[in-house]
Formats: sequence, structure tokens, C-alpha cells
Amino acid sequence: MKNKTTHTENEFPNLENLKSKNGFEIPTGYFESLHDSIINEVKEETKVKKVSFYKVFAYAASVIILVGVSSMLFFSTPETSEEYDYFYESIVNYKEVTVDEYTAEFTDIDLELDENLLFDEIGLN
Amino acid sequence: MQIDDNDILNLFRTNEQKAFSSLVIKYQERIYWHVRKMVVNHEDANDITQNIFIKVWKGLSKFKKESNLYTWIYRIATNETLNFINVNKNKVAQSIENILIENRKDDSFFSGDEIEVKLHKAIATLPEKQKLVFNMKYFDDLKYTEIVEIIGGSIGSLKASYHHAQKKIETFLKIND
Repeated sequence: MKNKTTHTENEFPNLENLKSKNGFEIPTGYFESLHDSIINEVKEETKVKKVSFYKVFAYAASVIILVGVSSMLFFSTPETSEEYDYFYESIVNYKEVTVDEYTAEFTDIDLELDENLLFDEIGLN
Repeated sequence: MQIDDNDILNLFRTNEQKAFSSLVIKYQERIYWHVRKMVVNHEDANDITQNIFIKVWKGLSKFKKESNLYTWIYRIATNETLNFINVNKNKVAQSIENILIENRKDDSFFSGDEIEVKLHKAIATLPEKQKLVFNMKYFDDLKYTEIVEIIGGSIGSLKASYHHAQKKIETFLKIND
């Protein structure tokens, strides 16, 4: 029985004789330089990738800090100064005020208003 | 002694650049010749080969061990080469003509003798798919199962392609003897 190699050798003798030959010319030491070129290119790619990552990271961090600081300023309750004292005391005092005291204050305010307004202006005359 | 593909992949987990360097040393010649036989011109083959290895580098972290590293690299190489040929059809055709003509005057591109020049001229006349199958089988001695992994198709159709290619080349060599 014929094997495949014998069959090919008989059918394509020219091709079989040329099998080990390549024929193309390449520059001397080409493959050493090819390896180095590829490795250098990969290193460059890695560097660019790292730089891009740090850039993106830096931008993201800046935005987060900016938004964070703005939010704190916008939403925070007063923490120092008289503003805070007033804010705090108004809550505490409100709990301590009785109904009588509250209405008394209300009346006082009305009286003050009465003193400042003319009857004509409030339409009672 | 050449490093085993599994060792390259294991090394890649701890030292990516060292593993990749070993991979380039192992495959650069085979991949360069695979490309060179398709595009003929050395400068083009050089550029394409570098691009192929950059793509291999970028994809290596996602490479799954279920497929063969060699055929995976070969598939990237084949796609990259065919893309180049599609975009630069005229340039590639011109390169083939130029280099074959130049060789008669000056040996800077071809080291081979007249019969080898004829062989490459004959290969150049093949359709792309036949040329690919022929190169992978004739020069690289790949198995049909490996070629199927790289360019797809069935073993039967690849065998037919290879046989037609051999026949055309043998006829070309006889006619131009």
C-alpha cells in the first residue's frame, strides 16, 4: 500500500525537492532586533497605559474632591459662631416653651404690630 | 531548548514581561515567515509581525487555556496579514512583482536560486485561501486540525485546497522549467 509521502513525492516531485528551502532574504541579525523592537514597543504601550490610568485617576479624584467639598458647604448645618448658637438654642428653647408662654409671646407681637399700624391701614375703621 | 507553552502561561501570572519575551523568542521566526510568504516584502512583513505581537501581548491576559497557544497566535497572525492584504491589495501585488524582478538583477531580497524564485512566483498566483493553506501545510507542516482552528472550514475542504495548490504549483514549475 502506498503511503501519503510516496504518493506526494511521485505526484509533485519538484515541490518535494524544494521543501526544505525558503528562498527569501532577511537582514543579518534581524530576529535579534525584531525581539528587541517588539519588547520596546510593549514597554511603551505599558507606559502609555499607566500614564492614561494615572491621568484618569487624577481627574476622577479631583472631581470627587470638588463635588465632596461643594456638598459639604452646601448641605452642612452651621457649626460655629452665633449662627450655630441661635440654631441650637432655638431647638432647645422651643421644647421648654409652654403653651401660655407661647401665646403670650404671640400677643406681645400682635400688640407691637398694633402699635406700629394705623387703623385705616388694616381696614378696621 | 524552547520553553513550553504552559510554562509561558504560568510565568505570565507572575512576570508578564519575562513570559512575553520568551513567547516572542519562541514564535517570532515562525510568525514572521508566515507573514512574509503572504506579503513577500520584508518591511511589510516586519511591520505586520510587530503588530501581531502587540495584539498577542494585549490579549494574553484574556487567553483561555482551552485553545492552543500556538494556533491562537497563528490565528491573530493570519487575520492581521489578511487585513493588511485587503487594505493594500495593489501594494502587495506590486511587491510580489518588484521583488521577483529585482531578484534577477540583485540578490538583496532573495537568497534563493532560480527554481526557488519560480516556486514563490507560482505561490503568488494562488488565491489567498489556497496560498494560506499551502504555506501552512508545505512550509510549516501544520496538521489539518490545526489549520481548521486557525482559518476555519472543514478538513475535507482544506485537503482539497492543498491538493489543488500543489497541482497548480507543480504545473507552473514544469511549464517554466
